Amino acid sequence: MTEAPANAPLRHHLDAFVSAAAAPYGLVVALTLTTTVTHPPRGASVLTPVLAGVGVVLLPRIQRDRRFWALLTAVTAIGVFSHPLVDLDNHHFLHVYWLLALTLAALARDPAVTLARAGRLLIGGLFLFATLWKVVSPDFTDGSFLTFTLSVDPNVARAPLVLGWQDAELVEANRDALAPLHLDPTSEVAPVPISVTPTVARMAAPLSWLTLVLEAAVALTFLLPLRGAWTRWREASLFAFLLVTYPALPVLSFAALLIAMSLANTDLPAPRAQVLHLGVLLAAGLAGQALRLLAG
Amino acid sequence: MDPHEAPASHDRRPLRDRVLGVIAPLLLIVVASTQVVVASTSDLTPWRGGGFGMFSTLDTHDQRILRVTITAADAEGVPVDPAALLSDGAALREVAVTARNHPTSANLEGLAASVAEAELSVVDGVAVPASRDAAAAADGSRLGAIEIVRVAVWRTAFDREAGLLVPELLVDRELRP
Repeated sequence: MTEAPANAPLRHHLDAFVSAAAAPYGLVVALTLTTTVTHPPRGASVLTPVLAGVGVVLLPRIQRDRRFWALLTAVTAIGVFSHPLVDLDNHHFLHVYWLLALTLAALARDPAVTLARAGRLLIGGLFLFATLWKVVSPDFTDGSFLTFTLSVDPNVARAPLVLGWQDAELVEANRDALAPLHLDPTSEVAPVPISVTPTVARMAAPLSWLTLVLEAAVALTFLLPLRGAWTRWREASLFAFLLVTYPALPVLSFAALLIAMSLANTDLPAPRAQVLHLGVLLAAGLAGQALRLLAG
Repeated sequence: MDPHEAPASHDRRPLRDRVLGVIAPLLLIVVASTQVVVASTSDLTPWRGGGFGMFSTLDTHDQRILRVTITAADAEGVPVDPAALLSDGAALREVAVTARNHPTSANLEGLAASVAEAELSVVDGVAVPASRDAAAAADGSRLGAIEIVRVAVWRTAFDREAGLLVPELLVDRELRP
């Protein structure tokens, strides 16, 4: 009679982990928990990433465990909503909503379908409000916002720098010109000249409308009750948005949450669904790194 | 059941599951709608408050200008160092950010009260936390009881034709904490 190897329980756990993480629901959970470990929402106590980290290790057991999700959601929500609400980014709110959705899915008879609905409506809802804000903001639709941002924000200016639309020294000079307004309390609060390159001035309005169209497309495709092949437009619009936006705006945790929500909802067959979603997230991250290397 | 295996289950799931699937999105809609109303009827920056107004306007929290000036028994009109108000880890950061991002009377009064309670020293004509400049405190430049805190907040707009970032005053209040 042969004895079982000493590492058999570990191997069993690893097999169970890989099997869980490879399935769509498990990958959604793994992405969410990993993002919670690496980028906990602002205000969350240290308990949030610790609990999420434990959740990653115990993925096969906790992915549909209502007590785990309720605890993680409660601990995170208490921390986040104790923080001044006007100091939170949008994705900090979204992070809590998504943890709540995972808790409620764990209470459902069919967690995957319940989470799919929540993911679809969360993406549709957030892009609906994002679109509405841009439509009602004249400084967005006339290109003023992007003209200024492309001329001052070093993150957003990277892509125009690489394309040759922008001048690094001009961006730096604009930032220097603005610094006293924010850093020197003895300086006069007065208009500040901002230099803009002709290409940025010309492209800002079309880029603003491209952003608006992309965000509206995501809102519409996720909120409309599409069926069959029409649902592919959901992934197409969201992926286009992520690939255009996130290399320039390096909030990859927001992108990871959106990818998790989309993966929860997708009708794409496995494993194509997982590969496509992870591939887009990876591509957005790599494109951001490439821009950083190229633009400095 | 996995939706990838049985999409038809979308139509047959129990009412309870359908309700559970819309609670989080409803919460998003309630919070975001509230933010839209509050930002449209007060001076809350559209970037904050959970309404997904980021990157929609230049009226962002980071471009808002916050100026705090204090008058104490032994000093008049001393500006407070912005780093003491807004930098990460600053003791006054939460109240200062709240007042800048949503300058309501209550938030301005909260900031004024916290500034009045803070131990401040004057270095080169600017008020800084006393703990940050022990030498200044030792020189006897620590401020006495603060009588008036003046708080002013500007948002900014960009004039494309003139190429100018233009500050627009939102509030300018003198408060007696």
